Amino acid sequence: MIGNLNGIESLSFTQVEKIFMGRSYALPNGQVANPVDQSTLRTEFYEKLTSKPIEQINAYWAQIVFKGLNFLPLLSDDKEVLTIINSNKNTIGYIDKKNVNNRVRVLLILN
Amino acid sequence: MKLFRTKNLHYKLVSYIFLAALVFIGVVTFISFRLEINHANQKAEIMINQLMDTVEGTAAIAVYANNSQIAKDVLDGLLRNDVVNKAVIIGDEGLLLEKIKSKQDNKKEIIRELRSPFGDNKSIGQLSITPDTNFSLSEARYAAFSNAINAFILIGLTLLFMLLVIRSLFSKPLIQVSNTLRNIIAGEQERIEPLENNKNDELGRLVVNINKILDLLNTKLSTQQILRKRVESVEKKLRNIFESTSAGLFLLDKEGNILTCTPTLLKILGYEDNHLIAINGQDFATLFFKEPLQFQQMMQTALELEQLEAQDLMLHNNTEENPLWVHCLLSKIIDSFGIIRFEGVIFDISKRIATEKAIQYEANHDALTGLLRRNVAELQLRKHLASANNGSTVVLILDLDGFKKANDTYGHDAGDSVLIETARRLESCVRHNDVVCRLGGDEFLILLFDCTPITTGFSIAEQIIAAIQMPVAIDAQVTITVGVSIGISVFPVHGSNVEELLKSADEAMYEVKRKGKNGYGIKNKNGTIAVNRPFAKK
Repeated sequence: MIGNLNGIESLSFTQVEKIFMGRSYALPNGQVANPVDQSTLRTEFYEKLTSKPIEQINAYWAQIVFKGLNFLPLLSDDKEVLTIINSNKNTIGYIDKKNVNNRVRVLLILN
Repeated sequence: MKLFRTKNLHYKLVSYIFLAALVFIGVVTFISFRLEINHANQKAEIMINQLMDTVEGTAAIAVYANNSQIAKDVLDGLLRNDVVNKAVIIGDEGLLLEKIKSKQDNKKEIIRELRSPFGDNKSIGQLSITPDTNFSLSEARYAAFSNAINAFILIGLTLLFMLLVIRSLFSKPLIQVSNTLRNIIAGEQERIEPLENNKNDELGRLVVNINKILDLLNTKLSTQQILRKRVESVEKKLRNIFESTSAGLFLLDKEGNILTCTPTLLKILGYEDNHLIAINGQDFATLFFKEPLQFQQMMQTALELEQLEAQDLMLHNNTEENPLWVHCLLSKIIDSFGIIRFEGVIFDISKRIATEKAIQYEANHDALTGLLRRNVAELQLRKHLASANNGSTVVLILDLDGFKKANDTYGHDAGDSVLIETARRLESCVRHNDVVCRLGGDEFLILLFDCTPITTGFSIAEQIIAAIQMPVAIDAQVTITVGVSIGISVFPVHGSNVEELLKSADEAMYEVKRKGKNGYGIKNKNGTIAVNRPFAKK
């Protein structure tokens, strides 16, 4: 999990889960998180986050979306994620550990 | 309720069972309703839990995502079930949504913890559902009602079947037995047919026992019939004797009132049969006898002397022309209860008395003229002289003048006619109480009692002379004229007894004959006889 250098220091697993499952967008610093998805690592990320298959996650989101919420903005890969996070303070996203650079801050490492 | 008035046993029985069944069904339905309510409550709980299972995921998502829209959908969906009255979703992120059908109380809500669909599986909210009271109520009602209907139909069918069975097993044979019994005439050699289908059961034994009783009755009745016939024949004989006897039997109580009597008695006494009852209890003596005292005297004697009393008695309707006399036997008896009674017999002796009277009359009266005979007249005179009021008794002896000649001339028949006419004229001349007697031939005797003054005797004698000398018409051609010579004597002047008086009168009569007939004569004190001939030609 990475975030903007100007943003929060770190996030707990639960906080990440809450934010990405659309439960709570509140950040520890009191600002609203702006999570982004990416298609390359999506399956792996959600399985690691919720221990549930991606189909279930999709179904969950389908319900949510159907009732008026938006999907998270879906980016294509780590590169796009890094770019967005660099330019937006409260945006958080996930990338492969090996693509992490010093312009972003690692908030949590999912194993 | 008409059912209960029916005469058929099987209908009655089935009706009672039916009523009892109705009560039982009512009680059972009530209990089953209670049980069914519990059951429905449990069922509702199960259903609600199942519903919760169904919506739990979605509800959890709604709570997790804090999405009231999803929660609303869940609640709407839940409320579409009859079993749900109220559904609430509470989320720990502030979601609170409640849906309710109708205001109800007394129902415990069922709460399901909602767990996070992701990650730590922690409780994130509650789904609570309150069951619908009406649901369990209507469920229970329906179940209880259908139970009742089932029971009703089952019992109804069973009863119908029972009715048929009872009818064919009990009622029909019983009716058959009853009808046969009704048609059996006591004492007749008739039996109830054994029942085909009930030979060995209670009904079969009933028939056998009834037949035994019928046999017994039959025997007893025939014995009684024989006895009754015997009694009847004896009674008939006795009754015949009682009714046809010529003796009038009677039974009186101690006071002389009639207790019973034979019809013959009533005939003797001149009553018809139908008076039999009316005279019971009346005084026998005064009812029947001319002189009740006589009969009462008999009763008294019978009571005291305890022996059979017998007497001839005159009946109450006795008359001179139609004398009614009975011979009565009377004795005292003591009946089986120790009560004193009188029993008696009455024989009709009216004919005997009448015959006796006729004989007496013939003996006392002259056959030709109907006048008293000499001996009777003399007896009467003797009695009168012996009595207290014997004064002024006048004796007249009469002898017809010219009778012998008339008798010789015109024959005895003509003479008899003269005698009869003479007797009639003599009776018409004397007073009612005086006695006219034919002494024999053409001689008559007249007794004048209580003749005061004595000269009355003379005027009667003159009337007699006048009457006798009138001509007697024998037939169209012949008339006979006779005269009469009368000798008079007076008691006690001419004698103190019958003989002296007759003798004196006789002498006077002969003196008249000598002096010219058709006159009367009487002895003077000096012994001479004075003769007076009032119609002699001077």
